[in-house]
Amino acid sequence: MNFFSWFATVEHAYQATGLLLAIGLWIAALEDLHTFPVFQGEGLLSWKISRLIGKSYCQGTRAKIIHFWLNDLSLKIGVWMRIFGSMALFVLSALNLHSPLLLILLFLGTLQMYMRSPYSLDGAHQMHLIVLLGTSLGTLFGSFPWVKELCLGFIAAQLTCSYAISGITKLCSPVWVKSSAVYAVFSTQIYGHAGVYQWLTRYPSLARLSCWSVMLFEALFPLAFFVPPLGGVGFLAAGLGFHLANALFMGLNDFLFAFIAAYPSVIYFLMKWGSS
Amino acid sequence: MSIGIGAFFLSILILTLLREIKGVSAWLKTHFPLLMQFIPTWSFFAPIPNMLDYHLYYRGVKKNGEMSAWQEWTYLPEKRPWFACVWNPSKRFSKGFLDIAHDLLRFSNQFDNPLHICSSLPYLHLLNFLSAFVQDTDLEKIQFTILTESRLQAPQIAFVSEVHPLRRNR
Repeated sequence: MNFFSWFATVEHAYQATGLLLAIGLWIAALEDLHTFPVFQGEGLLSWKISRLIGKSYCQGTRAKIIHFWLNDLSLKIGVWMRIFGSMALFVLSALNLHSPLLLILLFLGTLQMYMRSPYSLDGAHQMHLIVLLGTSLGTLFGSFPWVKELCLGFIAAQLTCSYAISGITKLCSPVWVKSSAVYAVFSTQIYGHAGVYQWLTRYPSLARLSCWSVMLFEALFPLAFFVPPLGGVGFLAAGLGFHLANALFMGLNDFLFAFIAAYPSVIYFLMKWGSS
Repeated sequence: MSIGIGAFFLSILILTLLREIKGVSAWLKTHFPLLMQFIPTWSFFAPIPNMLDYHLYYRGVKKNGEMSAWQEWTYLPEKRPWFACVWNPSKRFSKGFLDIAHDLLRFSNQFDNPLHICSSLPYLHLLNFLSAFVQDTDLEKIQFTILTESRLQAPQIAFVSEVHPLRRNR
Protein backbone atom coordinates (compact mmCIF):
# COMPACT_ATOMS: atom_id res chain seq x y z
CA MET A 1 0.00 0.00 0.00
CA ASN A 2 3.07 2.28 0.12
CA PHE A 3 2.48 3.65 -3.37
CA PHE A 4 -1.14 4.49 -2.55
CA SER A 5 -0.33 6.06 0.80
CA TRP A 6 1.51 8.75 -1.22
CA PHE A 7 -1.99 10.02 -2.15
CA ALA A 8 -2.93 10.43 1.52
CA THR A 9 -2.00 14.12 1.47
CA VAL A 10 -4.19 16.75 -0.21
CA GLU A 11 -1.18 18.21 -2.07
CA HIS A 12 -0.24 14.89 -3.64
CA ALA A 13 -3.86 14.17 -4.61
CA TYR A 14 -4.00 17.56 -6.39
CA GLN A 15 -0.62 16.93 -8.01
CA ALA A 16 -1.64 13.53 -9.43
CA THR A 17 -5.02 14.90 -10.55
CA GLY A 18 -3.28 17.80 -12.34
CA LEU A 19 -0.88 15.48 -14.19
CA LEU A 20 -3.59 13.08 -15.39
CA LEU A 21 -6.00 15.90 -16.21
CA ALA A 22 -3.33 17.69 -18.26
CA ILE A 23 -2.71 14.61 -20.44
CA GLY A 24 -6.44 14.13 -21.12
CA LEU A 25 -7.04 17.81 -21.87
CA TRP A 26 -4.00 17.99 -24.16
CA ILE A 27 -5.12 15.01 -26.27
CA ALA A 28 -8.72 16.33 -26.44
CA ALA A 29 -7.56 19.81 -27.50
CA LEU A 30 -5.19 18.42 -30.16
CA GLU A 31 -8.03 16.27 -31.51
CA ASP A 32 -10.27 19.36 -31.66
CA LEU A 33 -7.57 21.23 -33.58
CA HIS A 34 -7.07 18.30 -35.95
CA THR A 35 -10.80 18.15 -36.76
CA PHE A 36 -11.42 21.89 -36.62
CA PRO A 37 -13.15 22.04 -40.07
CA VAL A 38 -16.05 20.14 -38.48
CA PHE A 39 -16.79 23.27 -36.42
CA GLN A 40 -16.39 25.78 -39.25
CA GLY A 41 -19.10 27.40 -41.40
CA GLU A 42 -19.75 24.46 -43.72
CA GLY A 43 -18.84 21.75 -41.21
CA LEU A 44 -21.11 19.19 -39.62
CA LEU A 45 -21.17 21.15 -36.34
CA SER A 46 -21.26 24.64 -37.83
CA TRP A 47 -21.84 27.52 -35.40
CA LYS A 48 -24.24 29.28 -37.78
CA ILE A 49 -26.60 26.31 -37.34
CA SER A 50 -25.77 25.45 -33.71
CA ARG A 51 -26.65 28.98 -32.59
CA LEU A 52 -30.25 28.46 -33.78
CA ILE A 53 -30.76 26.23 -30.74
CA GLY A 54 -32.60 28.89 -28.74
CA LYS A 55 -33.77 32.50 -28.71
CA SER A 56 -31.08 33.50 -26.21
CA TYR A 57 -28.43 32.38 -28.73
CA CYS A 58 -29.89 34.49 -31.60
CA GLN A 59 -31.42 37.71 -30.26
CA GLY A 60 -30.53 40.41 -27.76
CA THR A 61 -27.48 41.39 -25.79
CA ARG A 62 -26.99 37.92 -24.33
CA ALA A 63 -26.80 36.53 -27.89
CA LYS A 64 -24.05 39.03 -28.75
CA ILE A 65 -22.00 37.95 -25.74
CA ILE A 66 -22.59 34.26 -26.55
CA HIS A 67 -21.63 34.83 -30.19
CA PHE A 68 -18.47 36.69 -29.15
CA TRP A 69 -17.44 33.75 -26.96
CA LEU A 70 -18.48 30.89 -29.23
CA ASN A 71 -17.75 32.08 -32.79
CA ASP A 72 -15.17 30.21 -34.92
CA LEU A 73 -12.26 32.54 -34.11
CA SER A 74 -12.90 32.46 -30.36
CA LEU A 75 -13.22 28.68 -30.52
CA LYS A 76 -9.88 28.36 -32.28
CA ILE A 77 -8.26 30.65 -29.69
CA GLY A 78 -9.88 28.49 -27.02
CA VAL A 79 -8.49 25.30 -28.56
CA TRP A 80 -4.94 26.73 -28.72
CA MET A 81 -5.31 28.01 -25.17
CA ARG A 82 -6.29 24.48 -24.05
CA ILE A 83 -3.26 22.99 -25.85
CA PHE A 84 -0.74 25.34 -24.22
CA GLY A 85 -2.71 25.53 -20.96
CA SER A 86 -2.67 21.75 -20.53
CA MET A 87 1.08 21.67 -21.21
CA ALA A 88 1.59 24.36 -18.56
CA LEU A 89 -0.67 22.43 -16.17
CA PHE A 90 1.46 19.30 -16.63
CA VAL A 91 4.71 21.16 -15.91
CA LEU A 92 3.27 23.03 -12.90
CA SER A 93 1.72 19.86 -11.50
CA ALA A 94 5.03 18.00 -11.89
CA LEU A 95 6.61 20.79 -9.82
CA ASN A 96 3.70 20.56 -7.36
CA LEU A 97 2.66 24.14 -8.12
CA HIS A 98 -0.99 25.08 -8.60
CA SER A 99 -2.35 28.02 -10.55
CA PRO A 100 -6.06 28.75 -10.03
CA LEU A 101 -6.02 31.16 -13.00
CA LEU A 102 -4.72 28.43 -15.34
CA LEU A 103 -7.33 25.95 -14.11
CA ILE A 104 -10.13 28.51 -14.50
CA LEU A 105 -8.98 29.29 -18.07
CA LEU A 106 -8.93 25.57 -18.90
CA PHE A 107 -12.38 25.22 -17.36
CA LEU A 108 -13.73 28.08 -19.51
CA GLY A 109 -12.05 26.64 -22.63
CA THR A 110 -13.63 23.24 -22.03
CA LEU A 111 -16.99 24.86 -21.23
CA GLN A 112 -16.79 26.76 -24.54
CA MET A 113 -16.82 23.47 -26.46
CA TYR A 114 -19.63 22.21 -24.24
CA MET A 115 -21.80 25.28 -24.88
CA ARG A 116 -21.12 25.53 -28.58
CA SER A 117 -23.06 22.46 -29.68
CA PRO A 118 -25.13 19.78 -27.99
CA TYR A 119 -23.66 17.21 -30.41
CA SER A 120 -20.40 15.24 -30.39
CA LEU A 121 -19.88 15.51 -26.63
CA ASP A 122 -19.57 12.59 -24.27
CA GLY A 123 -19.01 11.58 -20.67
CA ALA A 124 -15.32 12.44 -20.94
CA HIS A 125 -16.14 16.13 -21.58
CA GLN A 126 -18.41 16.11 -18.53
CA MET A 127 -15.77 14.50 -16.35
CA HIS A 128 -13.14 16.99 -17.51
CA LEU A 129 -15.47 19.82 -16.49
CA ILE A 130 -16.16 18.23 -13.08
CA VAL A 131 -12.46 17.72 -12.32
CA LEU A 132 -11.59 21.22 -13.57
CA LEU A 133 -14.38 22.77 -11.48
CA GLY A 134 -13.26 20.91 -8.37
CA THR A 135 -9.54 21.66 -8.75
CA SER A 136 -10.15 25.32 -9.77
CA LEU A 137 -12.23 26.07 -6.68
CA GLY A 138 -9.93 23.96 -4.52
CA THR A 139 -6.84 25.95 -5.49
CA LEU A 140 -8.62 29.33 -5.60
CA PHE A 141 -10.16 29.08 -2.14
CA GLY A 142 -7.69 26.55 -0.75
CA SER A 143 -6.73 28.82 2.13
CA PHE A 144 -10.18 28.42 3.67
CA PRO A 145 -10.54 25.45 6.01
CA TRP A 146 -11.75 22.19 4.46
CA VAL A 147 -12.22 23.69 0.96
CA LYS A 148 -9.43 21.66 -0.67
CA GLU A 149 -10.82 18.44 0.79
CA LEU A 150 -14.37 19.45 -0.06
CA CYS A 151 -13.38 19.86 -3.72
CA LEU A 152 -11.69 16.45 -3.79
CA GLY A 153 -14.86 15.07 -2.17
CA PHE A 154 -16.97 16.60 -4.95
CA ILE A 155 -14.80 14.98 -7.66
CA ALA A 156 -14.89 11.61 -5.88
CA ALA A 157 -18.68 11.86 -5.39
CA GLN A 158 -19.28 12.68 -9.07
CA LEU A 159 -17.06 9.77 -10.16
CA THR A 160 -19.01 7.47 -7.85
CA CYS A 161 -22.33 8.84 -9.18
CA SER A 162 -21.15 8.35 -12.76
CA TYR A 163 -20.42 4.64 -12.27
CA ALA A 164 -23.37 3.93 -9.97
CA ILE A 165 -25.96 5.71 -12.14
CA SER A 166 -24.66 4.05 -15.28
CA GLY A 167 -24.62 0.61 -13.59
CA ILE A 168 -28.07 0.88 -12.01
CA THR A 169 -29.60 2.15 -15.29
CA LYS A 170 -28.07 -0.85 -17.07
CA LEU A 171 -29.43 -3.22 -14.42
CA CYS A 172 -32.93 -1.87 -15.16
CA SER A 173 -32.53 -2.44 -18.89
CA PRO A 174 -33.64 -5.75 -20.45
CA VAL A 175 -30.99 -5.40 -23.20
CA TRP A 176 -28.24 -5.45 -20.58
CA VAL A 177 -29.80 -7.99 -18.23
CA LYS A 178 -30.39 -10.42 -21.11
CA SER A 179 -26.69 -9.94 -21.95
CA SER A 180 -27.24 -8.86 -25.56
CA ALA A 181 -25.98 -5.26 -25.12
CA VAL A 182 -22.23 -5.87 -25.41
CA TYR A 183 -22.70 -8.21 -28.38
CA ALA A 184 -24.91 -5.63 -30.15
CA VAL A 185 -22.52 -2.74 -29.41
CA PHE A 186 -19.57 -4.71 -30.81
CA SER A 187 -21.61 -5.49 -33.95
CA THR A 188 -21.37 -1.81 -34.93
CA GLN A 189 -18.51 -0.13 -36.74
CA ILE A 190 -18.65 3.04 -34.64
CA TYR A 191 -17.99 1.43 -31.22
CA GLY A 192 -17.42 -2.17 -32.27
CA HIS A 193 -14.42 -4.31 -33.04
CA ALA A 194 -14.43 -7.08 -35.65
CA GLY A 195 -12.10 -9.37 -33.63
CA VAL A 196 -14.02 -9.00 -30.36
CA TYR A 197 -17.32 -9.47 -32.22
CA GLN A 198 -16.06 -12.79 -33.63
CA TRP A 199 -14.99 -13.94 -30.17
CA LEU A 200 -18.36 -13.02 -28.70
CA THR A 201 -20.13 -14.87 -31.52
CA ARG A 202 -17.99 -17.97 -30.94
CA TYR A 203 -18.25 -17.83 -27.13
CA PRO A 204 -21.66 -16.38 -26.09
CA SER A 205 -20.74 -16.91 -22.43
CA LEU A 206 -18.09 -14.17 -22.90
CA ALA A 207 -20.85 -11.71 -23.88
CA ARG A 208 -22.80 -12.64 -20.73
CA LEU A 209 -19.69 -12.33 -18.59
CA SER A 210 -18.76 -8.92 -19.99
CA CYS A 211 -22.31 -7.54 -19.64
CA TRP A 212 -22.58 -8.63 -16.00
CA SER A 213 -19.01 -7.58 -15.16
CA VAL A 214 -19.69 -4.06 -16.42
CA MET A 215 -23.06 -3.80 -14.66
CA LEU A 216 -21.81 -5.15 -11.33
CA PHE A 217 -18.57 -3.15 -11.34
CA GLU A 218 -20.44 0.10 -12.05
CA ALA A 219 -23.43 -0.46 -9.76
CA LEU A 220 -21.28 -1.68 -6.83
CA PHE A 221 -18.60 1.01 -7.15
CA PRO A 222 -19.91 3.01 -4.11
CA LEU A 223 -18.91 -0.01 -1.98
CA ALA A 224 -15.27 0.99 -2.61
CA PHE A 225 -15.66 3.43 0.30
CA PHE A 226 -17.03 0.83 2.69
CA VAL A 227 -14.46 -1.93 2.26
CA PRO A 228 -10.81 -1.93 3.50
CA PRO A 229 -8.55 0.41 1.41
CA LEU A 230 -7.06 -2.52 -0.53
CA GLY A 231 -10.55 -3.52 -1.67
CA GLY A 232 -11.24 0.08 -2.69
CA VAL A 233 -8.05 0.14 -4.71
CA GLY A 234 -9.25 -3.12 -6.30
CA PHE A 235 -12.37 -1.30 -7.53
CA LEU A 236 -10.15 1.38 -9.07
CA ALA A 237 -7.94 -1.25 -10.71
CA ALA A 238 -11.10 -2.78 -12.22
CA GLY A 239 -12.09 0.71 -13.41
CA LEU A 240 -8.68 1.23 -15.01
CA GLY A 241 -9.01 -2.12 -16.80
CA PHE A 242 -12.53 -1.19 -17.91
CA HIS A 243 -11.41 2.15 -19.41
CA LEU A 244 -8.33 0.57 -21.02
CA ALA A 245 -10.55 -2.05 -22.70
CA ASN A 246 -12.96 0.68 -23.84
CA ALA A 247 -10.07 2.67 -25.31
CA LEU A 248 -8.51 -0.37 -27.00
CA PHE A 249 -11.63 -2.03 -28.40
CA MET A 250 -14.19 0.80 -28.67
CA GLY A 251 -12.01 3.80 -29.52
CA LEU A 252 -13.12 5.64 -26.35
CA ASN A 253 -9.67 7.11 -25.71
CA ASP A 254 -10.92 10.31 -24.07
CA PHE A 255 -12.74 8.45 -21.27
CA LEU A 256 -9.48 6.87 -20.16
CA PHE A 257 -7.64 9.99 -18.96
CA ALA A 258 -10.78 11.97 -18.06
CA PHE A 259 -12.01 9.33 -15.62
CA ILE A 260 -8.59 8.30 -14.33
CA ALA A 261 -8.00 11.97 -13.46
CA ALA A 262 -10.73 11.61 -10.81
CA TYR A 263 -9.12 8.51 -9.23
CA PRO A 264 -6.59 10.36 -7.00
CA SER A 265 -9.55 11.98 -5.20
CA VAL A 266 -11.00 8.55 -4.44
CA ILE A 267 -7.61 7.15 -3.36
CA TYR A 268 -7.14 10.14 -1.06
CA PHE A 269 -10.35 9.32 0.85
CA LEU A 270 -9.66 5.57 0.82
CA MET A 271 -6.25 6.18 2.43
CA LYS A 272 -7.55 8.80 4.83
CA TRP A 273 -10.49 6.75 6.08
CA GLY A 274 -8.46 3.54 6.01
CA SER A 275 -5.81 4.96 8.35
CA SER A 276 -8.27 6.55 10.81
CA MET B 1 -16.76 30.31 2.15
CA SER B 2 -16.49 26.59 2.93
CA ILE B 3 -20.23 26.40 3.59
CA GLY B 4 -21.00 28.26 0.33
CA ILE B 5 -18.83 25.94 -1.77
CA GLY B 6 -20.20 22.90 0.06
CA ALA B 7 -23.78 24.00 -0.65
CA PHE B 8 -22.90 24.63 -4.31
CA PHE B 9 -21.41 21.14 -4.73
CA LEU B 10 -24.26 19.52 -2.83
CA SER B 11 -26.86 21.15 -5.09
CA ILE B 12 -24.99 19.95 -8.22
CA LEU B 13 -24.87 16.42 -6.78
CA ILE B 14 -28.59 16.44 -5.93
CA LEU B 15 -29.46 17.73 -9.43
CA THR B 16 -27.17 15.05 -10.95
CA LEU B 17 -29.20 12.38 -9.16
CA LEU B 18 -32.58 14.01 -9.88
CA ARG B 19 -31.87 14.30 -13.60
CA GLU B 20 -31.80 10.50 -13.82
CA ILE B 21 -35.43 10.28 -12.63
CA LYS B 22 -37.53 10.56 -15.81
CA GLY B 23 -40.47 12.72 -14.63
CA VAL B 24 -38.34 14.99 -12.46
CA SER B 25 -35.75 15.39 -15.21
CA ALA B 26 -38.41 16.52 -17.73
CA TRP B 27 -39.79 19.04 -15.23
CA LEU B 28 -36.33 20.41 -14.43
CA LYS B 29 -35.40 20.71 -18.14
CA THR B 30 -38.65 22.60 -18.86
CA HIS B 31 -38.35 25.02 -15.95
CA PHE B 32 -34.57 25.43 -15.72
CA PRO B 33 -33.22 24.67 -19.22
CA LEU B 34 -30.05 26.75 -18.88
CA LEU B 35 -29.15 25.35 -15.46
CA MET B 36 -29.77 21.74 -16.52
CA GLN B 37 -27.43 22.17 -19.48
CA PHE B 38 -24.58 22.19 -16.96
CA ILE B 39 -25.68 19.18 -14.92
CA PRO B 40 -23.92 15.99 -16.04
CA THR B 41 -25.76 12.95 -17.42
CA TRP B 42 -24.06 9.74 -16.38
CA SER B 43 -26.28 7.05 -17.93
CA PHE B 44 -24.00 6.43 -20.91
CA PHE B 45 -24.62 3.29 -22.99
CA ALA B 46 -27.78 2.83 -20.90
CA PRO B 47 -30.60 1.92 -20.70
CA ILE B 48 -30.36 1.11 -24.45
CA PRO B 49 -26.87 1.39 -25.91
CA ASN B 50 -26.31 2.38 -29.52
CA MET B 51 -26.61 -0.89 -31.42
CA LEU B 52 -26.59 0.45 -34.99
CA ASP B 53 -24.41 2.32 -37.43
CA TYR B 54 -25.95 5.30 -39.18
CA HIS B 55 -25.04 6.04 -42.78
CA LEU B 56 -25.68 9.26 -44.66
CA TYR B 57 -26.52 9.03 -48.37
CA TYR B 58 -27.35 11.88 -50.71
CA ARG B 59 -28.47 12.32 -54.28
CA GLY B 60 -29.09 15.36 -56.46
CA VAL B 61 -31.50 16.60 -59.05
CA LYS B 62 -29.59 17.58 -62.18
CA LYS B 63 -30.30 20.65 -64.28
CA ASN B 64 -32.19 18.47 -66.78
CA GLY B 65 -34.42 17.18 -63.97
CA GLU B 66 -32.78 13.76 -63.82
CA MET B 67 -31.98 12.22 -60.43
CA SER B 68 -28.36 11.26 -59.72
CA ALA B 69 -27.50 7.95 -58.03
CA TRP B 70 -27.34 7.77 -54.20
CA GLN B 71 -23.82 8.35 -52.88
CA GLU B 72 -22.53 7.73 -49.38
CA TRP B 73 -20.75 10.26 -47.22
CA THR B 74 -18.17 7.99 -45.61
CA TYR B 75 -17.09 8.94 -42.12
CA LEU B 76 -16.45 5.59 -40.45
CA PRO B 77 -13.05 4.01 -41.12
CA GLU B 78 -13.24 0.36 -42.18
CA LYS B 79 -10.98 -0.50 -39.23
CA ARG B 80 -9.89 1.73 -36.34
CA PRO B 81 -6.10 2.15 -36.27
CA TRP B 82 -4.27 0.52 -33.36
CA PHE B 83 -3.32 3.94 -31.93
CA ALA B 84 -7.01 5.00 -31.64
CA CYS B 85 -6.77 3.98 -27.97
CA VAL B 86 -4.76 7.19 -27.47
CA TRP B 87 -5.40 9.32 -30.55
CA ASN B 88 -8.84 9.09 -32.13
CA PRO B 89 -9.86 12.42 -33.69
CA SER B 90 -12.27 10.77 -36.15
CA LYS B 91 -14.74 10.32 -33.30
CA ARG B 92 -15.60 14.05 -33.59
CA PHE B 93 -17.27 13.20 -36.92
CA SER B 94 -18.65 9.82 -35.92
CA LYS B 95 -20.08 10.93 -32.54
CA GLY B 96 -21.29 14.22 -34.04
CA PHE B 97 -23.13 12.45 -36.83
CA LEU B 98 -24.47 9.76 -34.46
CA ASP B 99 -25.95 12.42 -32.15
CA ILE B 100 -27.41 14.36 -35.08
CA ALA B 101 -28.94 11.21 -36.60
CA HIS B 102 -30.44 10.14 -33.23
CA ASP B 103 -31.91 13.59 -32.72
CA LEU B 104 -33.32 13.76 -36.26
CA LEU B 105 -35.00 10.37 -35.93
CA ARG B 106 -36.45 11.43 -32.57
CA PHE B 107 -37.87 14.57 -34.20
CA SER B 108 -39.31 12.68 -37.14
CA ASN B 109 -41.03 10.23 -34.79
CA GLN B 110 -42.37 13.08 -32.66
CA PHE B 111 -43.75 15.37 -35.38
CA ASP B 112 -45.79 14.68 -38.51
CA ASN B 113 -45.48 18.19 -39.91
CA PRO B 114 -42.50 18.26 -42.34
CA LEU B 115 -42.01 21.95 -41.55
CA HIS B 116 -41.16 21.07 -37.93
CA ILE B 117 -38.69 18.42 -39.05
CA CYS B 118 -37.09 20.55 -41.78
CA SER B 119 -36.52 23.43 -39.38
CA SER B 120 -35.07 21.23 -36.64
CA LEU B 121 -31.45 21.67 -35.63
CA PRO B 122 -30.22 18.20 -36.73
CA TYR B 123 -31.90 18.53 -40.13
CA LEU B 124 -30.39 21.96 -40.74
CA HIS B 125 -26.94 20.70 -39.67
CA LEU B 126 -27.05 17.91 -42.27
CA LEU B 127 -28.46 20.13 -45.02
CA ASN B 128 -25.88 22.85 -44.39
CA PHE B 129 -23.07 20.29 -44.36
CA LEU B 130 -24.17 18.47 -47.53
CA SER B 131 -24.82 21.73 -49.43
CA ALA B 132 -21.14 22.55 -49.05
CA PHE B 133 -19.89 18.97 -49.34
CA VAL B 134 -21.53 18.25 -52.71
CA GLN B 135 -19.24 19.72 -55.35
CA ASP B 136 -21.02 18.52 -58.52
CA THR B 137 -21.92 21.74 -60.37
CA ASP B 138 -24.46 19.86 -62.48
CA LEU B 139 -26.71 19.39 -59.45
CA GLU B 140 -29.44 21.94 -58.67
CA LYS B 141 -31.19 20.27 -55.74
CA ILE B 142 -30.30 17.77 -53.06
CA GLN B 143 -31.96 15.08 -50.99
CA PHE B 144 -30.48 12.93 -48.23
CA THR B 145 -31.36 9.75 -46.42
CA ILE B 146 -30.17 8.00 -43.27
CA LEU B 147 -29.70 4.24 -43.30
CA THR B 148 -29.16 2.07 -40.26
CA GLU B 149 -27.28 -1.22 -40.19
CA SER B 150 -24.92 -3.36 -38.16
CA ARG B 151 -23.28 -6.78 -38.43
CA LEU B 152 -26.57 -8.09 -37.01
CA GLN B 153 -28.99 -6.03 -39.10
CA ALA B 154 -29.31 -5.54 -42.85
CA PRO B 155 -29.46 -1.89 -44.03
CA GLN B 156 -32.79 -0.16 -43.39
CA ILE B 157 -33.98 3.30 -44.42
CA ALA B 158 -34.58 5.29 -41.25
CA PHE B 159 -35.21 8.75 -42.71
CA VAL B 160 -35.64 10.43 -46.11
CA SER B 161 -35.39 14.21 -46.42
CA GLU B 162 -37.31 16.61 -48.62
CA VAL B 163 -35.63 17.87 -51.81
CA HIS B 164 -33.89 21.24 -51.32
CA PRO B 165 -32.29 23.69 -53.75
CA LEU B 166 -28.51 23.86 -53.46
CA ARG B 167 -27.37 27.24 -52.15
CA ARG B 168 -24.82 27.97 -54.86
CA ASN B 169 -27.57 27.81 -57.57
CA ARG B 170 -29.82 30.38 -55.96
